Amino acid sequence: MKVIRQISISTFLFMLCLFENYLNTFISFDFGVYVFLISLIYIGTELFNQNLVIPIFLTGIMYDSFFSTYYLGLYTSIFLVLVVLSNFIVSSYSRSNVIYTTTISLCLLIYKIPIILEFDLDYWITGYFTSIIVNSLIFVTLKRALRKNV
Amino acid sequence: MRSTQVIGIRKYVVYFLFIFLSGLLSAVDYFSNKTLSNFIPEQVNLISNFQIPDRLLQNEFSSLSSSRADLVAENIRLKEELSNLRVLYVENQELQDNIESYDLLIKNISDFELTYYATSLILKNSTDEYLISGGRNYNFEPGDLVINETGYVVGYLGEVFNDYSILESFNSTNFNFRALDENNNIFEINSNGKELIFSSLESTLNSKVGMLYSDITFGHINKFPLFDLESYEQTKLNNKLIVTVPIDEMLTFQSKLFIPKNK
Repeated sequence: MKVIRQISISTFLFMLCLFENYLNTFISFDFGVYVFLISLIYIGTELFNQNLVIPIFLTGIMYDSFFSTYYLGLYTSIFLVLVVLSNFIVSSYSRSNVIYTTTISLCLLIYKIPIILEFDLDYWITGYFTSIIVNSLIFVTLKRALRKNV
Repeated sequence: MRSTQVIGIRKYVVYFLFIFLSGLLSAVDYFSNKTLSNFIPEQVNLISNFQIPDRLLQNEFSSLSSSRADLVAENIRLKEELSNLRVLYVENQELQDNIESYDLLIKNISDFELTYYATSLILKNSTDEYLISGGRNYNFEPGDLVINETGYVVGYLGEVFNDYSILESFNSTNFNFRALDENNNIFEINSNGKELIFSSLESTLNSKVGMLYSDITFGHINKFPLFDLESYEQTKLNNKLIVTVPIDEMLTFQSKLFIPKNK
């Protein structure tokens, strides 16, 4: 049962990752809609759990194997670092929209690190700031929609 | 206070272990020349498995109630026919598009000794590299040129898997290409994502540079046009000619791409 659960979560996360790539191939704006990044931050801030480490690891391995030209394990470690970082930030500071936006900014910076290291600042900076606004809005909306009203 | 801090760090231990494991995998992959990262894609035909079955497109579910009254049956039959016609219409449009793109390609290329495999965009990954259909199943190899319907080079294959490949296009982080001009001067082309930077390797260029071509001296399959630099500003820096060209055109799902291969 536990194995099936882990496999299901891995498949779901990989599908989200695939969906994110499809979405960003379709839209030709200067910014990206990072559904998978948002889900990783959501895991880090709301659902942080040691049992989720294997699904995230497996998703990263699949992404590295199928869609990335970088070495196996690069995106896997990026995904894991994002979850740890987002959890660390919300655990250390109060849960406010400013903190969430800061978390998204930092996580996006790490998420896009291969592009940031390769290309000049003017290539990614505009898209980066626009993506922060767009993805923060999506994240806050998602959080409100999934909030449990007790 | 101290104990809560320890608990706070402890919850990340498993994550840190897996980050370390990922780092270890990267190191092994680096030293094994990417054998590890190519292992899974070599076992799985990812793209073929994701294709939508024709049965779903034909919408056979609408014929479930065909045993009802004649009128309903007739209605369903007509609906089926209509959906079949729609499928045929889409197929016809696709074939017409293919014919048009092949017509355009035939007008623009000079070498008919090569086979031109049509390929299409599948998706763009996080580092702005394009996944395109066709891989080892068509004998594609890393470094194979990818041209558009006008016969111009749009990139080359970075990595090749069973049924898909990764295209290093002009706005890819790893794009690095060599080409010749009409006077056989060698140019190195790099990308900064928004612009292509053409730099000559020889220092004795006097005249203005025109069209650049791929060439067999760099392992390319044939001479294909890459870029006409004549209309762009050409500056000399340390006796080398530098031309910066903005990347205007992005690849889309409608882009018709071809990979020339020997017959």
